[in-house]
Amino acid sequence: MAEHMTEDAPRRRVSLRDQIDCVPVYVVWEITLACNLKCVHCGSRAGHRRARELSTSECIDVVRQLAELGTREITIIGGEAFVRKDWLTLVRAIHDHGIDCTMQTGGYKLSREMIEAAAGAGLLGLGVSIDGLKPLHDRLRGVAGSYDEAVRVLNDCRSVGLISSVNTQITSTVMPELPALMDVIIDAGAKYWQVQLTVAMGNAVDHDDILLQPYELNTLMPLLADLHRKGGERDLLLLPGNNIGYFGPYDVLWRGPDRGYFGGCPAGQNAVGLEADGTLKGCPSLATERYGAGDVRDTPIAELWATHPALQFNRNRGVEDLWGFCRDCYFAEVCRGGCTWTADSLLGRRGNNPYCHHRVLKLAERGVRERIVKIEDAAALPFATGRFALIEEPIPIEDARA
Amino acid sequence: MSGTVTPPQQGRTAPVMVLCRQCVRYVFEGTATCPHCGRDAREMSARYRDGGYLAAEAMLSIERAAERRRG
Repeated sequence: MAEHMTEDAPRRRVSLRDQIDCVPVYVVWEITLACNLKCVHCGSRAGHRRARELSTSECIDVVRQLAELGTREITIIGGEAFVRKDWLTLVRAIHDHGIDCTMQTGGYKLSREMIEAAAGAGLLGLGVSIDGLKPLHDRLRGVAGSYDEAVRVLNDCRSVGLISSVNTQITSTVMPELPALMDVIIDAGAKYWQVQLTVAMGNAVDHDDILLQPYELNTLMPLLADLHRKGGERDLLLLPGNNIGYFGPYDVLWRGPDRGYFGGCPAGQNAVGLEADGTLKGCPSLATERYGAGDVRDTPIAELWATHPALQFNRNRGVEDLWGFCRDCYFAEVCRGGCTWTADSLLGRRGNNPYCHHRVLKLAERGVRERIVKIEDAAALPFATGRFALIEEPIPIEDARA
Repeated sequence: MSGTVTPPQQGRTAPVMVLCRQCVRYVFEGTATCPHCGRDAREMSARYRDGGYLAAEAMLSIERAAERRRG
């Protein structure tokens, strides 16, 4: 979902006070795991609904509790959020509790009438996933025609007057398509474009050939910088997801100086994730096995938020759990290994993140680069992780010359 | 479900970073020699002044001061 859904100061922007008080400002809520797409990179292995998804009344109580805790934005996701029959009721409940409601969707079979109804219920913005041009997108999303549907949804948002954004997964083959994709996005009326690296989780572990190699950030980052500049000239703001970083030469373009630098993973400090069966986490994408903090049916959210160790790990975190390159990095104290989800899913432990442009550049000064190799598959469960080895190797002579 | 709100523990804030006024990469506040470009991080370059970074720096300082006052 776009960082800037309203003007240039979204309500979910975290203040120093929010950080100190650990206000759960931003919530990403999987309201169902049911989905009408079959994405080969899906970390939650969405498809069928969970066994014990929260009822409508339980969901509304969750909204009430989050409002009491100071939540300012909730993004509903799935699976596919609108597959859930009461999704408009939940949008309205979120809106009526004074919380901004946004939604992330694949857009497949989301009709213009449904978009209008959502806007009427108080939906503030819609993020549509588009992962490349038509052949690549349809292959990654596992459904022929899903690309056309996603673009149609963007056009429908424009005609309805709903703010739309695009979310693109950076996979191993998408880079050459990004300039043309940007043209499509602009023509369809989107104002924000968030990109994020596909993470080694769930289905993406099964299809590990789609994962970018860490050293490819050397090609990706200048490309994103170029697109950021060109998009800006055409009223499209390219925004980095939390796993695009960190502190490289282009960070100032998309994270500062006016928007602030990457100050570490916000999971469990100002960000919350909620699974459809009521499992609370610090971030929606984290491995449930290691980061699930319990069921909101059994314990009030305020109590889990205040006491559960799975939600506390970032709040006073220093550099003690960093390892590998990140441990001795100049930015360690600020960055703390970047995106917890990315590092933890890949290597089974947070605190060492090879998907970092600064790191890639520093390693290149020594003539080396890092490559990942899968050594263990992921279980057939939502948010399951596999295991990858990190290989340091000399940069091939032809690449070094380039 | 009842919701007795217990104040959570205090969270940490990230150390203050500023931009090197030469290479426009982040350095810790108070840094004299930029670890990225090796030049004086406090000395204004044309790129910094003319690229709008000085204005942004001023705005950010005001925002931070205001936040500290509110806090």
